[in-house]
Amino acid sequence: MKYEKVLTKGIGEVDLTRIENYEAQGGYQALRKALKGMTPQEVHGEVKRANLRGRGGAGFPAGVKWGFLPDDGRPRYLCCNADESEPGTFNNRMLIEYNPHLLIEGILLAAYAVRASRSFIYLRGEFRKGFRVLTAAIEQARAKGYLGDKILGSDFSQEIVVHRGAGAYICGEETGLLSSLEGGRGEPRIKPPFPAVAGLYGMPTVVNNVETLCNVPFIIERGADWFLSIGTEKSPGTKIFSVSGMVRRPGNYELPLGIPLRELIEDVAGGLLPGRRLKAVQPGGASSPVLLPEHLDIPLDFDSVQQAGSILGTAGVMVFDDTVCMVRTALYYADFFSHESCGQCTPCREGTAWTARLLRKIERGEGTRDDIEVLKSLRSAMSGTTICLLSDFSITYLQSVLKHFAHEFEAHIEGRACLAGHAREVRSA
Amino acid sequence: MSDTVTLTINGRAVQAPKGMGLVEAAALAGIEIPVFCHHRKLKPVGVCRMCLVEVEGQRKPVPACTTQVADGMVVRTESDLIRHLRQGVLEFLLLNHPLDCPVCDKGGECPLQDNTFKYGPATSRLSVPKMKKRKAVDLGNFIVLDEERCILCRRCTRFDAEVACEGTLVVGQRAHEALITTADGETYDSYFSGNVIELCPVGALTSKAYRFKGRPWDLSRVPSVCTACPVGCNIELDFRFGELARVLSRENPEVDNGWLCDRGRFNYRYVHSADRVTQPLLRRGDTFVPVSWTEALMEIASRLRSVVRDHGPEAVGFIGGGRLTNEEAYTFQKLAREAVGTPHIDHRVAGQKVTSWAGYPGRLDDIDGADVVVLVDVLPAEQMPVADLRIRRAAQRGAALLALGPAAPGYRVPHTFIPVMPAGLARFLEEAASLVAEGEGQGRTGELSTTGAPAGPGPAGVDGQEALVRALRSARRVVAIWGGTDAAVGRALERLLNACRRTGDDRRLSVLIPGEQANSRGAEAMGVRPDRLPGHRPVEAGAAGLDTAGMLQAAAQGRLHALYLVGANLQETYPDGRLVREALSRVPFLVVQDLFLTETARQADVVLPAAPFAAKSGTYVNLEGRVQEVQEAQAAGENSRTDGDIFRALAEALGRRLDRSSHEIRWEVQHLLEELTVDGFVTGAALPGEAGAGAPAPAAGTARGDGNRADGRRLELVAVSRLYGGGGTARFDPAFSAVRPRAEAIFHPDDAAELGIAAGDPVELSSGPEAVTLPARISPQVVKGTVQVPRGAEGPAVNMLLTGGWHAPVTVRRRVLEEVG
Amino acid sequence: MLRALAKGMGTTLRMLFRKKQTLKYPFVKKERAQRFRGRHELRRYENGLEMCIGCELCQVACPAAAITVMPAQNDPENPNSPGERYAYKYEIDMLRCIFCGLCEEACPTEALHLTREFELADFTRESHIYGRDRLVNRHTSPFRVPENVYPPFHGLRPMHEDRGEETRA
Repeated sequence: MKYEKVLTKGIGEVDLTRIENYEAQGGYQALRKALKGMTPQEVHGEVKRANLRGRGGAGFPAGVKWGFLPDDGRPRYLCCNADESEPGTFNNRMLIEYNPHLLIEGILLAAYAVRASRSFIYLRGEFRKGFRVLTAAIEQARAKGYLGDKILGSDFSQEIVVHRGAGAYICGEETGLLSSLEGGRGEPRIKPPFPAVAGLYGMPTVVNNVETLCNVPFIIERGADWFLSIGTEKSPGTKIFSVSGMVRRPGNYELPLGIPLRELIEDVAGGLLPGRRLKAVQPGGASSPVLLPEHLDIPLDFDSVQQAGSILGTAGVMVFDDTVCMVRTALYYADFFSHESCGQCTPCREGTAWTARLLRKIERGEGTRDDIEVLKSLRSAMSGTTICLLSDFSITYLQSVLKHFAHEFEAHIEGRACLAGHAREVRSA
Repeated sequence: MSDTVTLTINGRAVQAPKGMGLVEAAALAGIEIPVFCHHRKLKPVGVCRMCLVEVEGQRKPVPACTTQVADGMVVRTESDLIRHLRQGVLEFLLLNHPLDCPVCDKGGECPLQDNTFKYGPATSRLSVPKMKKRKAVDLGNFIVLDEERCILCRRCTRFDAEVACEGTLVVGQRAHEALITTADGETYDSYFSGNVIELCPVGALTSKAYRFKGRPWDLSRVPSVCTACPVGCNIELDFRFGELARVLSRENPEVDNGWLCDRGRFNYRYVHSADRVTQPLLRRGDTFVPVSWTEALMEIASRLRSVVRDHGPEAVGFIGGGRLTNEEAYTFQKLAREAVGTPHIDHRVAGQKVTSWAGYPGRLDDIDGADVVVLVDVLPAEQMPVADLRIRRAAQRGAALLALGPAAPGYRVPHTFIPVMPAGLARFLEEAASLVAEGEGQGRTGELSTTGAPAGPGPAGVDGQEALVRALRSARRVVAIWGGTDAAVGRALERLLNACRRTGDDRRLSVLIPGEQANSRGAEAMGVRPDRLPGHRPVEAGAAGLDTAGMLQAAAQGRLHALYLVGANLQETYPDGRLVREALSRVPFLVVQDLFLTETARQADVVLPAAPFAAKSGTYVNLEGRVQEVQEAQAAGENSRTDGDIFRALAEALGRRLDRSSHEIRWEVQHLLEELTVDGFVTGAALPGEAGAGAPAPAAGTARGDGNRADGRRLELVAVSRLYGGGGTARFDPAFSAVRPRAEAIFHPDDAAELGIAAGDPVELSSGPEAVTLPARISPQVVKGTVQVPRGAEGPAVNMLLTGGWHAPVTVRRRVLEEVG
Repeated sequence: MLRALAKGMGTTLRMLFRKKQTLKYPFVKKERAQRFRGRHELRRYENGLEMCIGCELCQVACPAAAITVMPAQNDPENPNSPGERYAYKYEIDMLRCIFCGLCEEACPTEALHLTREFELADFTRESHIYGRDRLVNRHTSPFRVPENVYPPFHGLRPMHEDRGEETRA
């Protein structure tokens, strides 16, 4: 193996849902180390020094985020965002279902570092197995004294509450998650105030992604310097890439950040199917603009991908070959977003639905050039005009496709057969 | 530290108070920022995105409604970008908004129309069919929802959650399928539902009553004051072709804060009811014959004269006046005292003993700052609904809300209900008073359990008293709201408040008493009381006349020979149906002045058709003592006359002019009110002393005869006020009669189980020889050991079982089917 | 002088052989312009529904205050017009009307139309107030109900309808 597995170590080899197996490969050592010999400030400092960037999509350094909590004596909460609903992204799910104790240990360490009075896991509602696994793992951890009152004999006590969502993509947005967790409609809130100041029940709250938290035990155990030695200078550490689409071996691959896109697709994922040509790659989930074959050599880290005009996001890499109709992919995403908008803000609620209806019309060959112009014009009306970023992200992919694959739209409008033939992979809902 | 900040909007320096929203701050400078979801009475949510503005230093445009002003802020509201975004938002909003404007009730006064006209794109680029949603969705008693027109600004759901504090109206579904709907299993039957019509910035929420009645530009608008309850909300009457088409709120922040209850908003069509009495009626045997005003007045005058000649002026009694303007009430007592010469006059028609109280005068806005609100035998939602919104908001903000009495208020805000039977209420308060006085400075609560014995026959426990005492001890601002039905309770309440006062100097203690009729307090100030002359002046010792109960008893015993009722349907409103029945059937001459032929009016010898409130001009005094003026909005109509005109004409027929002109009365009343005014409010009367003026109320808790049947069980009957209950105005309103409560007997589940009663079973309630059969309902809201019945409901008159108070022990029996037939 | 007389007679003679201008009204009626504005009519769609939706815009447009419209809700089983609303009362006072045609312009559904009929004289003032009976055209027009404007309307429980047992339990 060329690269060392960190987070995914043992997955597929031993049953890590059993706490003994997890402990056997060094699990809960970091927690023990922190509780025995480190202050919360030291844990926080280590994570901050490791420059652990949030794996949920934005890439914001977790240590900096933790530092935003005001020190005013109010109770603090830690929320683990396990509402992984991004199309083409499935790494959190694997961690939850196959390595639940790593997540629990990560949460405990983070809770220790930020001195949270309670931790919550907001779990995507559809993760039935994940829920079973997590609750069982929490019980095991409690039985072993890793959870509950006076953990491992220290003064640190912590409870973890697992809350299942009800099936809304928007609850993966941190404030939407908090609204849903409080029992309200899963609708994002206006920022500021940020969750760090007024989050869950109005209290200072940290919201971190599953994968981010899973990195914490290793940083504590092996030190920030070890972490900084992996990946690139600005994006240290490993990342689990969820590769899907027209490759031979789709799946989750844990690789250091900064690995070239070409290596990921051609070596790790086994390359394209025989006889197919690469058309486009989405490097980070539904909202990431397409990368073209010319971008194959860029390193996959947060900054390089951004320079290439896209975002690394959740690292849900989707590979489209020449059998894929780009109009249909755009329609698929538009349908997705128009279904998943929470419906609060006018531009998003109406704009996503309009986009989807126009794309459907175009995809059916009934569109006009005016419709294309309307789609292009929506960018300004839907970007930066809403409470959360769903509206912005709902059209970024479309805009990139409109730019790079305008001829496919032309073809649909002129009623010619779609260039790509019939790609079954993309349903038009 | 300065309280104002200076910011720049469109290049102009604007001073605004700290914490103000940008929309309001811009308005100060005369700059309009268009909004849909924002409403100054509701918390900003920033969802419509219409108010986006550019703020220097911010990457993205920010919503002005959720952004607070800051010193040195530089705002641009008219840049190209902002204009473009507004066009975008309007285009989005109009995409699927139906082209309904010609048939929409909001058309012409619609913010969406106005903003589109000012800021919107001229055309739509929609090239696919509009999306369809449901039209004319029935949300509740008064509200229709058009889902297509809705722009999901959420003003309505926020009103229901933040102001009405009920949470019935919610957003359902999501994304473009989102819609306004009600919580599962509920209909939108809030008492405040009508407010969402005015809040709605489009025609999505409309009134069933005003549906397709006209367009806004057709209406002539007259400011007025609501006369449905003593709060005195400010309203606007909109007429079309001389007919009252709708009632809107006319915001007065000190009174109604811009809200109205549904009774005030929708109960107006009685004004044009076909059932109105339109001509004076004279009894000829068993029937009425319509006669001219002259004939009716001459008949009354000659009959009254002969009664005075034969039995003296004290054989005439006058009852009513709580619905009159101050000027009319003043004329009314002049008619009684000067033209006829009787001291027997009383405005109290529903068993209330105390209408106003000079001690601890309360204001409606006291509730806003209160940290303890105590409800004493009163249901504010039913008796003073719009003021109840202040109570709910106070409770939601964290004030302690405690309710004492035999019936629980149905709040959805945090509150403590302490069930106390009316008979034990005075004792309960007195004990609390001594506990407050004792515990001062010691902070002991442990002793409470030994001293606070359960009070009265009710299940009030020590816990309730402890909660009350603890809340009062730490309170700085206390508002007590009291039903005023028992003077002894008032004295106990006074003692309790006195005890609180001793404990601190800067405490503000106030009492509010909702009068039983809209202008009860004004009528009292105008001297429509047997024991008081105008201006709360006590009558000479020994010269006090009979109060309502006294007059009814005198009439029943044949001592009163003529009775004159004004806007008083005693058969329904007085809590002793048997006494009323006997009095009205015994009294030789009965005059009723009313809008409708009520059951009381049907027993009259002469019925005089009065004009409704819209035809009157004059002043009203609301429950806090505020004087509000109304102007005549509508002609009295062909043959009805305003009450004041009737009194004057009758006095003239009796040979006595009450005034040289109507101005004279107005001037006298104005003078009187000015004399009574302290700090801008009319003062109340003194609390009746131990030997309270007026006839002593029959002791509560004494049953008539022996009701202990072998197969029945004794429960305390509690007749509760209902906002939609009550007489002619509700019954003869074609739109409103449907929501009038139906008579029913409501039991606690435990009592129902013991009696073997299921919901819907016919139940017989009896007291002495009187028995009433009602359908049963079971609700855990009812206090155990009581059976609750609504007042003024449609169905059998339950006041037959009462003996002067709104509660009495009754025997309850489940009727078997054969008996019912 | 003679010359002048001859000229005058000549004109008379010439006119004698010209086409006559006088018409034998009422047997013959004058040709009216295409856009002549006469008595109003309220048209029907081809399916027989009234085009008027009772919006009252004609009423507000009328400079002579000659029009009175009272709207009501359609009976969904037996509608008068497409959509929710119709005019249950529609009156034009022909004595006040100045036949300016502003009402026709204001009409959003093109229901109101000024015909070319002009013989409106009668003997009483009352008979000049035209109601629905005389205004609504008995015949249908070629207009079709526009698509996508009037959504299906299934009615609304009127307020004064007898409530069922369950509504306010």
